Amino acid sequence: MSKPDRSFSGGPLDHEEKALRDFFRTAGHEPAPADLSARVIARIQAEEKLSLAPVRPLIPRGVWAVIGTLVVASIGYALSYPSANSGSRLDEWLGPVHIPTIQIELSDLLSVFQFVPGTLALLLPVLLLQLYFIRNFYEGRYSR
Amino acid sequence: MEGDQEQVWIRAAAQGDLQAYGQLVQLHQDMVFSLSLSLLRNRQDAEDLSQDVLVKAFRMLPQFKGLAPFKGWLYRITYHEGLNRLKKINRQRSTLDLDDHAGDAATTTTNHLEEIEAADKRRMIRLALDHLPPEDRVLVHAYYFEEMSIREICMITGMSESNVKIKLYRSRKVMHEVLQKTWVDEQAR
Repeated sequence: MSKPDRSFSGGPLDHEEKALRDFFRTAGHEPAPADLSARVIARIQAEEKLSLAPVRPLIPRGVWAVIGTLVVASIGYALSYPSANSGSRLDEWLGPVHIPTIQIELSDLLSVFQFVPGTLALLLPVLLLQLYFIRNFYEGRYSR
Repeated sequence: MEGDQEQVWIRAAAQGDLQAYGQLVQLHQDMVFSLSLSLLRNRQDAEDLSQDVLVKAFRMLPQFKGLAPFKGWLYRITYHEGLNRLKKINRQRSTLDLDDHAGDAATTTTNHLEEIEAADKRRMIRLALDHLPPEDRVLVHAYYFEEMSIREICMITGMSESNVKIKLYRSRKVMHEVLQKTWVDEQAR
């Protein structure tokens, strides 16, 4: 940092300015506590140790894997074996359940949905959401 | 020479060398603590802030490009963290704890006469700074304690040059008046 020999207004130092500067200069900095440096280093070390410590998850990874596999398998099964009466086994299972229909006005999109069972359209976002959470979990984003 | 050594410590600390960072802390802790105290006016709060700032600076060190002096970079972190902390504290407390730091000088006294005099002056400066708003206290600290240029202060605070000059002019008047009065009062005792 440069030591200005002129006042901040650009003019030469007046008496008031000079007196104030001398006063500050001779006063010096407020000394930090002697152990501040040690405390800072200790805290950094403690935080690093904490971030390295494994955090036990509420639901173990194995259980998440089983849940994910079951979901994927059941959807795959439902879609792979269509029954004679309805579009798929999934439709059969969900028959008594009233699922609100979604009206999509875009005709281009409707043409795509004609080939896909309605239930799949509903389940797909849920599956993607679950996969997103599972991936985040395995990448450790929910741990410290 | 000292600047070269500082660069070595900065590079090592950025790679996680805590011993090097300890040296950097030793070098700048007084500045960080002094600014924290100027802003917060309470020793315990200033210690907490200094610690938080120095830990944060270590985490941010890999982002330090070295385009500006390390001291200015650290000063800017302290300034912004300090203002945030001040807002938080002001929300929690209605009045500032002035009594807490009134006797601080006693803890810093040594047998040396010069140090006693310096501590006395620091106490008077603290009392005078109490008459200024927090942002002006930072300006006074940066200009008179750190002897920064107006341009450097503008970079740290984001204020315009004219604004800094006006604020410094007003602060100087207040500081001078209060210090003179305190000085006269002390001499009369």
